[in-house]
Amino acid sequence: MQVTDNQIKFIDQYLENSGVKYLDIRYEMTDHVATVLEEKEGDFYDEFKAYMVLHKKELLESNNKFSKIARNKAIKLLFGNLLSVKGLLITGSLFGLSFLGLNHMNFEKLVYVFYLTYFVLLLVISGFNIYHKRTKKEKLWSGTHKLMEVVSFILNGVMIFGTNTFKAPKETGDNFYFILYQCVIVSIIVMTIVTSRQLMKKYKLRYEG
Amino acid sequence: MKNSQLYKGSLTTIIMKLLEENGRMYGYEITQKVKSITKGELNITEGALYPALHKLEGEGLLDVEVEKVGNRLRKYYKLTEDGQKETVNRLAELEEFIKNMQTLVNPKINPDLQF
Repeated sequence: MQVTDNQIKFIDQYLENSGVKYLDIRYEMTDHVATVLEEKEGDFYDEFKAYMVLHKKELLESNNKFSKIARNKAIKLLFGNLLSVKGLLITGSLFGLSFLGLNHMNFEKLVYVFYLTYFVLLLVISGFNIYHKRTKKEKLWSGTHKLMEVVSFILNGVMIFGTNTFKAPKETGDNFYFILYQCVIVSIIVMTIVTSRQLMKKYKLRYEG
Repeated sequence: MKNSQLYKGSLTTIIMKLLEENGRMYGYEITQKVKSITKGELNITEGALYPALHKLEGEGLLDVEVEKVGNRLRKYYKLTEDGQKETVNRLAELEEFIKNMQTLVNPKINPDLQF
C-alpha cells in the first residue's frame, strides 16, 4: 500500500501521544513504521494496529535510549565548549571583571550582582523549558531540550539546596575561590545557552535544510 | 533477534560491515538486508537496531544524511573516516573470535591444538 500524507501525520501524532516527544526521533520512527506498512497489502489502520501491538514497546525503549545518547552527546559538547578558547575567555573575563568590580563596590554588593546574573540566566533556561512544555509552537529537538533539562535541574538544585552558594566567605582570603566558583557557574549557564543554540542550528540544518 | 545473547555483541560490527559494503543505508533497509543475507535466520528488531545506530553516531563512527523521500524525511547512515578504520579493526576481532569459537566447539578441526 502507499502511505498518504495524512497517514504520515497520523503515525507522527500517534508516536507523539505515546511519549516520543522529540521531533528528530519521531522523523526516523515515522519513516520506519511507514516503510514497514508500505510493504503490507491490507487496510492501513488494521496493519498499523497490528504493527503497534507487536512493536510499540521496542519503539518506546528505542526512544528512551536515543534520548539518553542525545543527552550525553550534548553534555560532551557543553564541556568541549567550556574548555574551548571562547569558554575559557568568558570565565577569565568574568573573573577579571569581578575583581575590577571590587574597586567600585563592596563584597556584599558583588555577591548580589552574582545572584542577579545567576537568577536571570536561570530564568532564561527554565523559561525555555516551560515554554516548550506549555506550547508546541517551537519544535522540540532531543539534544537541545535534554541539555537544558539537565543543566536547569542541576543548577536549580544548587540554588535551592546549596545554602552556601551566595554566602560571602568569612575569611577575606577565601574571596578568590568564592569569585572563581561563581564565575564558573555563570560560565556554565552562558555556555549551556551557546551550546543549545549550536545544537538547534545543527538540527535545523539537518532536518529543515 | 534470534539467539539474541549470541548476536548482541556483534550487532554494531554487522551494521558497520553492511555500511562498508553498501555506502549509506537507512534503518529499515539494514534490517531487511540482514534478514535477506541470513535467509530470515537473523531478524534485527527496532529496539536493538536504532540504539546501536545512535550509539555509533554518538561515537563519531557514523555520519547522518537526511533526505526527503516521498512524503517523509529519511535518515541515512554512512561510515565516517574513523568508522571505516574501526570497521577493519572490529571485523578482524570478530574473525578472531569466530576462529577461536570454532576451535573450542570443534577442536578436531585444528590439529595444532591437539595433544
